[in-house]
Amino acid sequence: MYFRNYLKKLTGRVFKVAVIYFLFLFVDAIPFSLASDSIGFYPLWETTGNVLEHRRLYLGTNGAAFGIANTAQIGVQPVSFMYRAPNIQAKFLLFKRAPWSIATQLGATQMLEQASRAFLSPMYTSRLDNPDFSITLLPVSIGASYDVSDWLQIHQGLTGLTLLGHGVLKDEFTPGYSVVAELMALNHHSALIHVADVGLWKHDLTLLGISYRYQSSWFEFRLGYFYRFRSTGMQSSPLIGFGFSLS
Amino acid sequence: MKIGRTHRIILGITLPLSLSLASCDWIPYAFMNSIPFHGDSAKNPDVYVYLGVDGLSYFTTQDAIKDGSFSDPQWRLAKFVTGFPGTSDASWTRIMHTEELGGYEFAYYDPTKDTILNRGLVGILEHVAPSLSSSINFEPEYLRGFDYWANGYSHVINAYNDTFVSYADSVGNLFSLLEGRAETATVFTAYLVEIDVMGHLQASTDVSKALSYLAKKIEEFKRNHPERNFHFTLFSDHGLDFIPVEKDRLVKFESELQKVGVTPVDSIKSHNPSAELFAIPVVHTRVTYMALHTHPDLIEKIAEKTSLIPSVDLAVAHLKQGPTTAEWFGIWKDGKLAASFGFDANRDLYFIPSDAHFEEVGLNADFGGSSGLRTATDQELFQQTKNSTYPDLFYRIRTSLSPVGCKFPADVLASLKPSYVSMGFQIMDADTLTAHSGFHGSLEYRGTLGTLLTEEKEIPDAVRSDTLLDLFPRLKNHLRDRSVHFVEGDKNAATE
Ligand SMILES: [Zn+2]
Repeated sequence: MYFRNYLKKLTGRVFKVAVIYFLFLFVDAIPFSLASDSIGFYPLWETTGNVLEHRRLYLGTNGAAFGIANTAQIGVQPVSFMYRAPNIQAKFLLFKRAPWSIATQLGATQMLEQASRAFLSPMYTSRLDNPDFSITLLPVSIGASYDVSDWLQIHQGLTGLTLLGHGVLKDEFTPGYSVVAELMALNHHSALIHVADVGLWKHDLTLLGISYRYQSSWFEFRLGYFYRFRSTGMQSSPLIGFGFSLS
Repeated sequence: MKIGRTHRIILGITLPLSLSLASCDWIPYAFMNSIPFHGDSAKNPDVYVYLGVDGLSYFTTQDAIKDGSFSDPQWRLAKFVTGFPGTSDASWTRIMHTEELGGYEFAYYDPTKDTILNRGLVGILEHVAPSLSSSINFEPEYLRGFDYWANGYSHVINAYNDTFVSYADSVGNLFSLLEGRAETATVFTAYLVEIDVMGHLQASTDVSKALSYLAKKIEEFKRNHPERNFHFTLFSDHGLDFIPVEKDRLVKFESELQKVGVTPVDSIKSHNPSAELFAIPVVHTRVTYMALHTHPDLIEKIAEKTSLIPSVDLAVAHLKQGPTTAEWFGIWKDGKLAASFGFDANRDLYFIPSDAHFEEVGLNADFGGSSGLRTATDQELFQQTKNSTYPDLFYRIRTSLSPVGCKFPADVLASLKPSYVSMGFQIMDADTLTAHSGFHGSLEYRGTLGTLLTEEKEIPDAVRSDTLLDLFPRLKNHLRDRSVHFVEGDKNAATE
């Protein structure tokens, strides 16, 4: 009974997403080739092997970053920043020779007291609740992007997250691995499949998602739907992002 | 239709922008719910979980128990005797002791403005419109008492559209959140809406199966988390009669009032009480009660006339005068004042005329006395009525006509006979989305008896829902921690 209904529900969700996709097909322009993703879509656990071009500024909801010397980028997660979680990320290109691009990223996020309650809508709830204590997150990751062909790019990320719980939560280290397959259409559009495991040998959650990326020379829009599976329950929600690429 | 270039650009920019703004929460929602973390179980070895399950009938819970759910010996089940009218907003407001509503539901009559507020579609909107932020928010105050009550903007629409799917989503999210919260918290509260929706749209066996699914998940969760002791409590806001409604028993109250000589009106001040009999009916969704407001001089007459409507079981109202100075209440049946009683709030004492015939209103309790008035304590009456057709009749009538949980109680309340339902406000012809298989709202026991099921402590076999927070002080403190303003409610609510 639940399975049949799940299919029904899923079709409903896919339909809603499809409507938005088609609206986007109206926005056409001159053909151009899709730039590689240098930020990743799903927060915290996804990364890529690319960095932004020199002096290119990307301002988006899933990340804001500035490219330096074609070998580094520095950025923040602006939405978290506004939700009482100031943060910074620095990313360095380690290796680039077609078809590979490999980079490492260091980040720091301070979740201030009450960050978990900063949602605009009371219809969203966080598992982590920090009403009276702060949390420090220090993720370090290596991302590798691999061009399988001109229509397929694979992004992999290996992340180690150090959490400092300031006496309330236990200080702990959690590894995670993510893989994203990006199917790139001729121009502007790509479809992505996201899979990640957080915890690996001390499994915490499995992430599964699909998303769509639209890109013009200056504008990017992303829309996806993600499931988080845990042994005790499942959460799901859409994820949306838009940004401007400036130079 | 051809879309011009300018339109495309406008559409291309405004659509994602507005979507993004409305969905800002999706990013932190994904971010914060992907952080692995652990607390120290020595700091909170016991975790108390309170689940507000909308519309969970006492009898549904009994069925689930018969099917083997909640079989561990620590579970205790009580009849949770909820308020009258048995409607979600009013009832949750009273149970959680949150700020009074205007009336019993979102649509209500405000006598200071002499008009009905939030009528029709606006009243329905409250239940389905997403809360975009804590200030752009149609949700009633009591939901703030719950750590978790929705899994996204479209949750409530999904709950009606695809109830079982939405339920699986909610339960999955509930345990996912509980697992996280339990790492640091001692108390976790959550609200589930789907059981109520199922009750209105499905058969009772479907609802008890859904409850058994929750029971299974609770057991599973406890097994997977041996590092802490979890104590669950389930409570609900009303019962459900599981009587499918026939088309000819959907009552349009405006026309029924006219048939018994009462003119339905929109305003009281613009009518003359010495020239006509008039009342303002407040129409909600499909419920088994009806609230009426009228001129103070007409209250008893309107109650009497209303009780003549074939679908009306009992009409209740204040009596202008009684044998004592106490507050007096009347119960009308078939056009006659069938019974009355008085109440002295200072002594928490009821007065019952010794010649009262409460058997006429379905109570078998013996209230007879030698002459004059007999007095009865609240506790006595609760014990005598808790298993009757109209559980806790005296307290429920008294408080329904008093400003408990609502600022502007009705002047006359009609409780419908089983199988009759107020047609309510219609949204187009959405019959499949409208309640048809079960209802609540009336004084009768099926819509009245909710569930109180707990493994936290011993409880009596019947509990007045207004007293829940006294029975579970941890829950009360948790509401305070969530900055939910506590409203005392009726000061004589305690049954002991
Ligand atoms: Zn309800």
